Amino acid sequence: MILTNIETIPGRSIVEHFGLVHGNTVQTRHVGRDLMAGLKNMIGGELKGYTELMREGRDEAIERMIQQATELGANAIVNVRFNTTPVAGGAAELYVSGTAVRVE
Amino acid sequence: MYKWIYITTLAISVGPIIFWFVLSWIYGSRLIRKQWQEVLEAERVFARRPETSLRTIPNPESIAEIRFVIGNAAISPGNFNRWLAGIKSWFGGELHNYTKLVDLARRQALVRMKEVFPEADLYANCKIETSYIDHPKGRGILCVEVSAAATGVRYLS
Repeated sequence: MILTNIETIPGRSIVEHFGLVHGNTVQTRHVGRDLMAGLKNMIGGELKGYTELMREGRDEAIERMIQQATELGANAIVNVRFNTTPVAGGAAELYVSGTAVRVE
Repeated sequence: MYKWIYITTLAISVGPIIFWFVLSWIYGSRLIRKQWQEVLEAERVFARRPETSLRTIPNPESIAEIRFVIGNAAISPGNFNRWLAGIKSWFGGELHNYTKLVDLARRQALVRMKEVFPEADLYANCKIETSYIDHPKGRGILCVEVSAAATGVRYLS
């Protein structure tokens, strides 16, 4: 599956559009990770546990979007966009969307 | 006599807070300085592989590979910087510590994005998103998270 955040796949032509596909996930951290993040939060600097958490969340959302596109018969997703929303204390929703297409 | 009791009580009640702030300031600053050095070093490595905000990719006929790339970084200001920002907000003006921290997170996210596809010659339509994670116990913002996404392009040599 080819993914881009531009409207086209350079060097390939789009032969069919399947419309919007999307994936989302709400992620929160486990107690151990939260404890470390809590200590690090007092000192400052990068919270690696949260960086990983958000990365894993985005990967999961992308996987779901790809699955939806595959079911439609697409082999590429163009104009991919992300959105992150805090939904509760220590949790965030990661949403990704794009347009499923078939390219030559 | 009373003077010493007063000083001891004051030291016991305020001492740990001052100690923690000083520790947070020294150790936190060291961590952030180290991360800045790593980011600047990585930026030097990727200096000839720029990110652009353009949607169009130049010379599309000579593209060898494209790949969607993402990078992110979650960063916390720490108690000392929060306290400093609290004082500064009485007077207004720029919160330099916060400005630098968010800039660090953004540049770190860009570097990580490029590290996903280091062979790319350019990263087109680079989008940067800044969000935040709330404290689980409702004590305001826990950390700021910056994500960067782009389409990495490698040309035929």
